[in-house]
Amino acid sequence: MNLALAFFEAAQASPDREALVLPDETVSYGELARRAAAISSALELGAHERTAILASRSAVAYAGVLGVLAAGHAYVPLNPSFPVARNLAILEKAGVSTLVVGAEAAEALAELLPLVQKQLKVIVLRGHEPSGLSSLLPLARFQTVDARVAVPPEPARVSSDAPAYVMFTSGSTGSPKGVVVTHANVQRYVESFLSLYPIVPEDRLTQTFDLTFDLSVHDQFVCWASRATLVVYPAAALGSPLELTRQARVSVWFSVPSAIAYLESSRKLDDIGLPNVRLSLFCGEKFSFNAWKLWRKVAPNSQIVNLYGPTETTIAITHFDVPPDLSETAAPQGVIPIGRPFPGQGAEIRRDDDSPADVGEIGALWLRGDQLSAGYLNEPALTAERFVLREGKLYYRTGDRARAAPEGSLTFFGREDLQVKIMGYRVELGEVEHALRCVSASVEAVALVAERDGLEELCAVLPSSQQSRKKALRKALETLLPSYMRPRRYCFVPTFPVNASGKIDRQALSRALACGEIS
Amino acid sequence: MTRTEILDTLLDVAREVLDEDELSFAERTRFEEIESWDSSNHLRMVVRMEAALGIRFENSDLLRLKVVGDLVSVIERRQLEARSAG
Repeated sequence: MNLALAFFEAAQASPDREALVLPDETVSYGELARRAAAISSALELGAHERTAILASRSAVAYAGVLGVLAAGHAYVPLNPSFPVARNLAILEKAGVSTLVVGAEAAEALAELLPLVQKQLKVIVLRGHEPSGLSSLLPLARFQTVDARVAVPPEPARVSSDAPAYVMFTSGSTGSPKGVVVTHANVQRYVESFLSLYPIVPEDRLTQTFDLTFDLSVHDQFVCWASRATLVVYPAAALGSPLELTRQARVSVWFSVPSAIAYLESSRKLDDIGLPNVRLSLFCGEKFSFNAWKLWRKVAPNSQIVNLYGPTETTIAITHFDVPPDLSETAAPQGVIPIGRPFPGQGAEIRRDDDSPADVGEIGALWLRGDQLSAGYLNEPALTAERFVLREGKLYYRTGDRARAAPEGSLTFFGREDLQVKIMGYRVELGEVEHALRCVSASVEAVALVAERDGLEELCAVLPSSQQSRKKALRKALETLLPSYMRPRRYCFVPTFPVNASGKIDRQALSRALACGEIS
Repeated sequence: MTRTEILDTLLDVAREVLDEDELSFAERTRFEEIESWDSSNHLRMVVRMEAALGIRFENSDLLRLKVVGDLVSVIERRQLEARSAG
């Protein structure tokens, strides 16, 4: 069944209901369906192609997602603020031949098109044309579609294993990897989530996650399956979102936990709080006990849920209802548990030799169930390494370390490898180091996460010979990595410390950074 | 402290926080023009400015800052208050 079907059924039953509240317009289910239909009409139905969307949380972005899905294609989100090299790498890796473009992506499109090898088809929605389009006409096959004459489609029938989207995440070898998630994966997640946390049509849900982050899939499809309203937070409102949350009468909040720390440190919390928020969801990174305590004060009438899940197992696969009277002892190392798997999904803790760990023992977290995605696009070796068959069951080896409490609830205890989270975004330090080596032409380059002023940030450590080039390196990295992957701080060392096996001693570097020995 | 002295202190702190030795700005500079002054660096600036100047910002102080001069005015006001309270 097509993931977009629930939306189009809602649009047919209640065309006047508000589907989207954007900064400059409110879009009804009926209007969004017409826009999606217009985009869908330009795509060959059911061709099982991958179609990219170059837009940033605008009306065209959501219509693009629905339109692409309705045609039976998988969508590949790009971000206009990403470096053009990254958008290009994603386009090429995904084998995209069609692109849906929002008005806000004019500059990104102008940078991208001259670099694309094959001629793309570019779909533009009338009334939302990017500026300067005429100068780009020779570079692609443009098709402008008109929502006023579009008829909402019957979404293409798709098989349960048909891809719904390909989400690219940071890759440790230096280039992003695409996770292929199916219609059935997302439908299973949405059903499970709604069975535990029902959303009613009167609910108004936050939309703060970029389309390149899979938590945006939750926002859209949990909302539309419930015929509720999605309130889109413009980038400018993300820094101080409480006013918009109250104005827009939001009842369901969803963000990364660091949003709470950010609100507190930047003095953006006020005494009014969010009394109308009834459900608060957090996902994407560690949720600290202190952040939870603070949110209880901000949203005193809200149920608070900690969700956990890698992109590879579709949005979130475990959940923990934080009891209002949670004691600090129930939050090991000051971290809120990630709870139990959603119905029908499984989580196991394994030792280094793959044998099951005992209750209370920290080990590798393996996940199973029908939320497991179809693996990495065109990367069979990597897929085979992470998705493994054991005892006749398919597991995804997350690379996360966790521990199960006697009652079954899981707690996250960090990573087995060099993956880190920056504001909820997955960053492979290996990819940052690869980019640092490219721009500095130095053999040695280390990326680390260090704490400064109570906030974690990415730091680059390079040989002292590079010190005079700091500004140039920073500039060069802007062309390769999105801003969340770029080091905030550059440090230089005359020689890198090495461990017993002769490799760079990352822990020694971390300690030296923490105590200010290197800067 | 005069406004010029406050601006100099701001610049010193910003050069360290933003890791930009050659950074420069004036009172009329808009925050979005300062390349690396994004939301998380803004946070660090708040924490460092409080420590460097012995003041405490209020929630409302930081909600509607547009240019660097707005921040200088807030700091000037908080310093005056701190002096009269002391």
